[in-house]
Amino acid sequence: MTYEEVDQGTHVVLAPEGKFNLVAAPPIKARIDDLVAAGKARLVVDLHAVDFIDSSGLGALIGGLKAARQQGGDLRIAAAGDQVRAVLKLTNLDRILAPYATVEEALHGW
Amino acid sequence: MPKVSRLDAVMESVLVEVDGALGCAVADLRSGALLGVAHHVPYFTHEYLEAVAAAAVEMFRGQTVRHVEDLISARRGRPSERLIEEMQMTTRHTIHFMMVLPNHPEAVVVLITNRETSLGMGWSATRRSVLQIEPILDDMAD
Amino acid sequence: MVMPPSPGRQEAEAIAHSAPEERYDRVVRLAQAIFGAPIAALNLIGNDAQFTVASVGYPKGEMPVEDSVCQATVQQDEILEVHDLREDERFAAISSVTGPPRVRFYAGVPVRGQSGQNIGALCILDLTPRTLGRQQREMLADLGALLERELSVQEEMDLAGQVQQLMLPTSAPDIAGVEVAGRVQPAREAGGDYFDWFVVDDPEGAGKRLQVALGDVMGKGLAASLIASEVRAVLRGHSRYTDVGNAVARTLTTTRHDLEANNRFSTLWVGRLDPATGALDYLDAGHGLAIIASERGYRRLYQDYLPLGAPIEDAWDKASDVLAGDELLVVVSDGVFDVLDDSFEQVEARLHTILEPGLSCRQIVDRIVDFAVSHGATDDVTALVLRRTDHERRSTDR
Repeated sequence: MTYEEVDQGTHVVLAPEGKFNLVAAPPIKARIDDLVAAGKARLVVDLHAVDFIDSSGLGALIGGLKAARQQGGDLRIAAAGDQVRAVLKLTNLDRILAPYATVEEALHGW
Repeated sequence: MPKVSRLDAVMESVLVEVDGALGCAVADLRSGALLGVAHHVPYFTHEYLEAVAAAAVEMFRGQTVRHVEDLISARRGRPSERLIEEMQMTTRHTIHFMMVLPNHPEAVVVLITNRETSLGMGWSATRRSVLQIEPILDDMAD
Repeated sequence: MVMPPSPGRQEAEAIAHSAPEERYDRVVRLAQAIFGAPIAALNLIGNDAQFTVASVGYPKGEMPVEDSVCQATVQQDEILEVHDLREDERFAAISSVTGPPRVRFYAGVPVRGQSGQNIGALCILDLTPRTLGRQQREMLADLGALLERELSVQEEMDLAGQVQQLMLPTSAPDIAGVEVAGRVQPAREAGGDYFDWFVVDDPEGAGKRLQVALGDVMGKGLAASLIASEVRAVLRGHSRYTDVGNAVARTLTTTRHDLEANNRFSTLWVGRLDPATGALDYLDAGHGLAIIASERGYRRLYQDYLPLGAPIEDAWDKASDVLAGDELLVVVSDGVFDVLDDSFEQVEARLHTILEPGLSCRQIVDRIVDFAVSHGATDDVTALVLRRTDHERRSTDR
C-alpha cells in the first residue's frame, strides 16, 4: 500500500491508499514511529483512499496514537469511508480514534 | 505429422519454455540445412536463420576449428575427433546456446535468446530439448 | 524392493501424500538454473516407492524404488555423484538409464526431515556424463540445506496449528439443557481466532452455568495464536471465581503487559448461561458480533467497551439478556462479517439459512464457516452456536 506524506510544519498528514491490512500496516506504523521519534508527534491520517481496514490496520493506528501521545502529541484520523467507520464502530475504537469528517476538522487546536 | 514439422513443433515448445527466447533451430552440420525451426521475432527471416545455421556449421566444423581439434587429437595419440560439444555466444542483443546432439553428431541445436535470459535456464532447456529432438532424428534416419 | 523401515520412510510417505508445495518447485527451479541441468527433481523415498514431488524435465509421480538412484542417496549423508550411470553397476540397469530419458549423470544431496532422518534427495541429472567441481558440490549442498530449513518451518507451523485445534473444546460441556458447537478455520496453519466453552459454578452459589467465549487477536498466524492461547487460558482461570464482567477485567490485568509488549489487542465476547432459565450474562469487549436469533428476528448483544489491550482502561460491567427456548445464540468472528461486507443488513438477509428447523448447532456452525470460506474469506473464520434444549440429556456435538 502506498501513502502520501505532507509535512505542514505544525503537523504531518499521511494519506495511505488501498487496503490497510496485515501487509500494509507495518510500514505505516514504522513511518509513524520514525516521525514521532523525529519530534513530529502531531499526525493526521487521511483515510479517504483506504477502502478496507482490518485489525492489523487498526493496530497500527492505535499503536501510532499511543506513540504520539507519549511524546505529547496526538494521532487523528479523517475522511474514513464506510467500511472503516463500520469497523471502528464495531470494535468501539471510535471512542479513542474519533473519525473526523475532513482533515481540516482534524486539525482543530493545532 | 510430417517429420520436419515435428521438429518445428519441438522448437516451438522450447521457445515457449524459456523466458526471453527468440528463436530455436536444428541444423545439419554437414550441409548447413535447417531441419527444424521456430521463432518469435519478425526480422528472423528464413534467409537470416539459414545464415545462422551456416555460421553454426562454420563454428563447429570450420577448417581452422577442425585443424585445432586434429592437433589436440594427435597430441593425445588419438585419431582425429570432433571435440567441441557446446558453444555459447553472446552478442550485443542476444545469447546463442549451441549444442551438438550427443547421439546425432551430425546435427546441432541452437537456441537464441535475448540478453535477459538466465544462462542456467537457457542451457537447461537446450540440453533438455535433446530428449525430444533425437527420437525424431532417429526416425528420419530410418 | 522394499526400503528398511524407519521414521524417515514414514515421514516421506506423509509428505508425499499431502498437498504439493510451491517451496519444492522453487528449489528445483534454482537447481535447474544454477547447474543448467536438463532434469532436476526433489524425490522422496517411501517404503517401496520414490515420489517425485517437484521436478523439471521429469514427470511428477511415483516409481518403484528399485528404479531410483535417490534411494541410494538417502542411505548415506554425503552428496552422491555418479559421472556415468551406465558404468555404475548399481544403476546401469535401471529404467531411466536403459530407456528414456537415458540419463547418464546424477548428483543428489540427501535431505533430512523432522524425523532426524533422510527423507529424500534433491538431485540433478544430465544426458551426457559430467563431473561437478568442489564449488558446484557446495552449491548443491547449499540448496539441500535451504530445502531442509523450509521443510522444518512448514512442519513446525503444521504442528502449531494442530496443537491449537486440539486445545479447542470438542466434547459437550458437562451441563444439562444446552447444545453448543464451535469451529475455527484459521487463514494460516494457526491463527488469532479462538473460542471456548466450559462449566462454572455460579458465583452466588446457585448452580452451574455454561460459559462461552469467542475472541479475536489482532493479526494472523503463529504470533496471534500464541496470544490467543494465553488470553483463553487466563480467562478460564479467572472465570471460576467471579462474574463475567470481573473475569474479563482480571484477564486484562493479567495479560495487559503481554498484549502491549506485542502491540496487539484482542476483542472478546463472553457469555454465561443458566440453561434452566435462559438467563444470559455477557460482556462484550469490542467484539460486537454476537446475536440472539429466531423466527422473530434478531438482536445484537453488544456493549461499548474497547478490546483488551487498547490504551484506555474500562470499568467492565456485565449486561444481561434472556435466551428463550426457541432462540439461538450465534457468535462469529469478523472473518465472517467481512464476507458480508461488514453489514448487518446482509446478516439479517441470510438469517433464514441458519434458522431452518431440524438443524443441529454443529450443522449451523458448519454452514456459517463453510459459507465464509467459500466466499473468499481471507481472515480467520470462527463461529459458535448455542441453544437451550428441552431434554435433560447431554448433546454430544463437537
